[in-house]
Amino acid sequence: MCSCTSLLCFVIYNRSPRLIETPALQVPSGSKDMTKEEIVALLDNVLKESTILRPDLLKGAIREYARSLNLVNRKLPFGLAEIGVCYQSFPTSKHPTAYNIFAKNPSNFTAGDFQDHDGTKGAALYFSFPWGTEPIEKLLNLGDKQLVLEHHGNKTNLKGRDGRKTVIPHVLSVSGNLDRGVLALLFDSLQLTKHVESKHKFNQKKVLKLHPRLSPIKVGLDMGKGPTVELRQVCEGLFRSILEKRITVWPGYLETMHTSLEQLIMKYDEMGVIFTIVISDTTLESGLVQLRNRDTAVKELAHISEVRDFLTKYIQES
Amino acid sequence: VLKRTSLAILLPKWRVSPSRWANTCAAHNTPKECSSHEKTQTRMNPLNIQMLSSGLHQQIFGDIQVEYSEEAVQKSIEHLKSHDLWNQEISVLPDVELQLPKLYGSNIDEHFRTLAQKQNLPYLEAANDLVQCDLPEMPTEWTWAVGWTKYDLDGQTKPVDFPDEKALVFDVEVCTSESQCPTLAVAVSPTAWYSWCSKRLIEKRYTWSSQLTLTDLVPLETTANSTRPPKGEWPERLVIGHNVSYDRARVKEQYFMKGTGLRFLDTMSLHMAISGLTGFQRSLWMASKKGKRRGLEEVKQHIKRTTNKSRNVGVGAWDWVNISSINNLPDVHALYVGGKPLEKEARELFVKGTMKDIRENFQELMRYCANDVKATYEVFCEELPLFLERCPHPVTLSGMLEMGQCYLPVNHNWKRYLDEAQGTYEELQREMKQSLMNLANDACQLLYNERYKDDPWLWDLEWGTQEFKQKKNTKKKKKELVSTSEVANSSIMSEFEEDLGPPSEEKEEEMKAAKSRALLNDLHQTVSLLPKRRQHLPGHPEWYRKLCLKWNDPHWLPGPSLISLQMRVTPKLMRLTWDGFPLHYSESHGWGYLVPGRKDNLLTNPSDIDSPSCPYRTIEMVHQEHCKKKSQGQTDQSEVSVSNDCMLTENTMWEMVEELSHLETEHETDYGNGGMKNSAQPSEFLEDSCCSYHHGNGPYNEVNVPGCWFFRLPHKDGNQNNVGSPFAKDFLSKMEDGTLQAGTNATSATRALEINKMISFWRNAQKRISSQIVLMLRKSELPRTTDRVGSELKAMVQVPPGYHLVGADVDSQELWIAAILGEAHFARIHGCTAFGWMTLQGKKSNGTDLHSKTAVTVGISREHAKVFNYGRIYGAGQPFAERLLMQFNHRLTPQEAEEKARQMYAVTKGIRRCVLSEDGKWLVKELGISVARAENGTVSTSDVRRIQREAAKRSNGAKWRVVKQRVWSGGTESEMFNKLESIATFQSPRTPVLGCCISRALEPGAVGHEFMTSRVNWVVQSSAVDYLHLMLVSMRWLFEEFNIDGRFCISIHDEVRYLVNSEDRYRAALALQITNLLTRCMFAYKLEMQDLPQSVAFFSAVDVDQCLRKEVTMDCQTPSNISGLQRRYGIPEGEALDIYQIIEKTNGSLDKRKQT
Repeated sequence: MCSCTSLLCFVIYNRSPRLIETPALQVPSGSKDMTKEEIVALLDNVLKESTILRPDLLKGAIREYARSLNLVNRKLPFGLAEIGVCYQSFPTSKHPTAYNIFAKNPSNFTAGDFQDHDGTKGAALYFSFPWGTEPIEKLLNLGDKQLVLEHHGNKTNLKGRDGRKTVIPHVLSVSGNLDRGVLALLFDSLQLTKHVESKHKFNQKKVLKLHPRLSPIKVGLDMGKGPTVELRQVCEGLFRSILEKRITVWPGYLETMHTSLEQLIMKYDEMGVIFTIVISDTTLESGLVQLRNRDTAVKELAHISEVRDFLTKYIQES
Repeated sequence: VLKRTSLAILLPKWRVSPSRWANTCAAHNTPKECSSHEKTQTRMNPLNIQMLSSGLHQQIFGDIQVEYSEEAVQKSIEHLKSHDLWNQEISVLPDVELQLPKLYGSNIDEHFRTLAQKQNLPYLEAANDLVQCDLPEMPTEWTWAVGWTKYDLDGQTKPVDFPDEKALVFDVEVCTSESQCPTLAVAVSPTAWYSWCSKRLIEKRYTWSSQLTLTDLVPLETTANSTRPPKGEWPERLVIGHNVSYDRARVKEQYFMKGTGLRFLDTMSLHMAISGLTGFQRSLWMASKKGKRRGLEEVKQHIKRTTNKSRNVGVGAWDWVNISSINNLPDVHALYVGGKPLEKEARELFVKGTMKDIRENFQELMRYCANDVKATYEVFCEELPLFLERCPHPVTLSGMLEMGQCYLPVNHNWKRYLDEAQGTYEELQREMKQSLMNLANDACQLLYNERYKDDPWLWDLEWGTQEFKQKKNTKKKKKELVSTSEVANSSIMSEFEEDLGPPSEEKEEEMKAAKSRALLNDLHQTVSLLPKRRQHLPGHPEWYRKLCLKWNDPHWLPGPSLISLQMRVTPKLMRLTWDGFPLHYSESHGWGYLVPGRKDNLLTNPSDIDSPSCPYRTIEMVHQEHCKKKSQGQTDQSEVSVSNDCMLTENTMWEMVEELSHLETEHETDYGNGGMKNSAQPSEFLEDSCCSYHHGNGPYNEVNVPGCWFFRLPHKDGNQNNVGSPFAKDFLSKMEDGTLQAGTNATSATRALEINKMISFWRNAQKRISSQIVLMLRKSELPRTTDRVGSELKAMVQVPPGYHLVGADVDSQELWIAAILGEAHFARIHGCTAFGWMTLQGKKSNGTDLHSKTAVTVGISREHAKVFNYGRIYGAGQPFAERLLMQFNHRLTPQEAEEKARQMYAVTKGIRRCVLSEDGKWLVKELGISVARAENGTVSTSDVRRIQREAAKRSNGAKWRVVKQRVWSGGTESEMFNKLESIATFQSPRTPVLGCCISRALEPGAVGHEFMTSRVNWVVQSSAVDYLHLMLVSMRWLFEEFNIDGRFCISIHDEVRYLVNSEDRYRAALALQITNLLTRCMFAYKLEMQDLPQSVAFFSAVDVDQCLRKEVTMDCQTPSNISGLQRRYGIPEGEALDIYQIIEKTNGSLDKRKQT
């Protein structure tokens, strides 16, 4: 524990992670004359004073229940959503269809049964990672137990209207682990292919085939041969006009270090950039730009006036 | 007049005298307790087959002692010895001691007769009333009112709740474009006409619920809003209709849990029993009567063959066409009644029209419907006497009435199931498309450096790209362009300079932006240089362009969105291989594959020609890699358990057999001329152009691929056919065994194949299933595999709370029927033929059961052998076996397959031998020809040919009829086939048990030697129907006699299911076991074998379950039902009980009081 270089470290205590400052732990390990019992007592103390990191967001949502119930005029059912950071020692889990729409290979995502360590049953969405299958989303039926517990058995506050009856609702909890979800989508979209550069040289080609709507950067904009000042002006103009449509563009033309187009494209493929636009002197002459598609690797000419509409529609319809 | 008298003669015979009935009932009320429960010795027949316990035998067959003649026993032993089946180890079952209910009459046949007569009586009387009456006059004006209207004889009309009549002829019409709800209906009884109109027809509303409820249906027995009979009891009524199950599905009371006393009789079913056609005959009938379907290849062949022959055969081979018809009402009416043809134009309105059209043409449509009712009535009057004459056993009619009562309960899970299956199907389809699009996108990358030229699959695609077209940008224009931009720039600059002095950093930014925007705008002007009509993806290869929608298409989607499995490019993109050879498509030969190594067509200078050159070296590499892998044992699974797709279901199997029988009859009928199959081999090849290391369907050297031979993929209908798509259903099994597979590292391709397989079921069944009406599901051929989306369908038939489904499969029903027929023919001892012995006593464990034996003989798996065995019993001949062998193992050459098939047939069916006619015998004697006669006096076919040749030579070419009869001999099944053929060639073939006639369209008097396969098949199939009818009659009797609360649910092929109150489920199970025992005994009795082997007496298991499924333990996990039935729909496992367990549970008694 002394060798911890980070400021914080996590300790699993009663299954909840806690936040402890490293110096607090360094003291006991530094003094060798303390007995085991003393060290344990000291550590216990440190732990007691530490901050507990929440393992899930459920509690907060349940606490908000009574107030939210009044907000919706006590009419059931309703939903509460909470987004936040939480720490988990075991893997957790969004909607299967959402993943399926964006996934390259939807079959890597599977739905199945799930059982919590305290026996709560539900369903989960799993992803087959290279190291094994792990849940990325869970749907649990918690019944009314937690709700009653949190509100100390004061049932009148909890009751809502379901048609003519007043009832204590059962809680359905859907929770997703965003980190794991993102990781799953990244794994899903990473394509490794043997790339033949020449007759004898094989190279691995990495392409991040993220769904167009998920790619953080959709377009890479670069300059080819031609008069630098004017080309940059054109790039600048195009950059702005595409951004107006809320399409993220990577301003590659600003890069001063010279890289070959091949290397550039390799980089963009790894970034998951869908289209690479290259402006060159032909653009100045005839308005044509080179448009390269990540998925087919085909370079096509397109007119500069039509590029923006094309990109917009392409991403929308994907 | 004729028809009426004939029926009147028939009726009395059917009637049961009440006094006698009372006697038997009384006798039954005091059943004698089985006096002696001593353990008797197990009864064995002389062939070591265990028989019924003496207690059971005595109860069923009375005091008849079974005696066997020494000669018959000796004959059988010799026969069994010759097939290695004598002195085999046998197993002994514990005897079953059971007190059966008292049987009626003096023998089992009388018992069944009595039961059926009692069950039929009220319905036959009702039918007789109808036939005897003169129909009242049809109303000229129809009443426009919701519900039923009665038209009295005096022209009065009045609304009624329902037609309260003993017998009705009935027809419902549905405006199919609106919903499945009945729209209007007409009925007629001997005394009045009735009409019915739905609320939806009379009341105009904007919307109607799409959910059917009882109030939407036609009431026939109850008042509105009531589910009880008005007089507290369901009277026995009879309703006649054509294809009446369609009408029945729209009758209110048919959806009640407890069945009513109403029965349906279908004039279409009656027609099929009297004059029905086989599938192939239907095509021929259409061709001859309506000039349709003439184009079908097999129809053409048949016409050609039979027209040639009719000149020298006495019976016109087309006579049957005039005494039969296809099944629709106008044609059936024309056949039985004749006169003016029925008008069917109005029908179109119900199919295509809207409710509005029907309202506008109400009178006309009512008249049309009433005319149909009248026609149905006329047909029925003609059919009934014919039917009773041709199917004289009362059990047949009783069985038919009972069959019309099938009832399938489903619950809300049905809707949920449909939604889920559809959702899964759509999702899988989307995924498949995505996989295919990925493949197409990835393939585009081969454009780089022309790498496609080395690709074994994609080398011959259209890789050309288009040049980007643009008008010449003239110098002048360019100048103009630059200058304008300069002007623009300068003007902006000047503006800023003038007004604001030296620009700040912010301003500078803004200025820069403005400048670049201006420049961009200028560049936009150059758009005028582009052609008006934009090119479609000019930079992409031609084949890819075809997969993409044009930009201006309103449904434009990114990427190759048009791709589908059906496209020619897809198998190539998937890099499919057949035995390691890449697939290739040829315009003239369809799908095939390329085998490298051909030398005679290598080009000396490949660059000479325009067409792409084949990368035969890479193809070689692909194949080598495949071989390497195979030798490592990675893909080798020489004979995987037979895929379920190969396992032909009964229906498809019969289709195939029937189809192939046309090939066979050809050399069957002109025996004597020794019809050898013409084995025209392809002309000799040059040494270089003949592939030595690969055998397959080819090579076809007209397909000129440099360096490669082209072989066709095998086609299920024979190798002369082109394969249109390697994704056809027939190739599923080849994908499973790895013969046809996707390229090694193409995961998307493999996935797409998997998905294709998974969704195949739902794609086919979707329409049929979703169109089912609430509770009605017709018995449809439901597949038994479970890795298809939606194939857990059957299990969606679920019982309501408090009920169970009790049912059983008749163990190897057809095999046993065929076997017992053969035994009756041979020595009248159970197990006397090798085939019979194997069915009764054969054991899988020591290889003496039928399937194992065949498997060993031919050297195939037991599962495959099963298909052959059933095929043979269905009447399939050697060509069927040859083709099937090739399909199971495409690596066989036709010669090998023929050899194997011949061997199989010699051992099983045996060899054709002939019984000489008087002429023949005389000729042999006179001409002094030495012939080898067998023990039974038969001679070989080659000897017959010798006699014919010799006789012709000596008598100036005159033809002699030297053969009286042809028989099979020497095989395990020879006796059985001799029996089947003797029944089939009999002047008026009848089923051996219930004596039902074959359809008139198949009687030898009408068809001569044609359709032999169908007739042989008919013997077994119709006996199986007799079996079912006997079971239904017996079950109804036991249910009524012992107050078992239940009803008939469904029968699919060889299984029956009953819906039973849970309390009575074990008694129902016992009833089913007793029914099976009595039915089998009836078979044995009618074949004059007064005993029954213990091994077939009872069902091996009766299933007591809460849903319909093949095995009670099956959980039916499929892609659309991942969690299985138990978890998903809360259906627990069922029980499968054998007779011993049932006896234990019921105390061996059907009586409720004696249950523990």
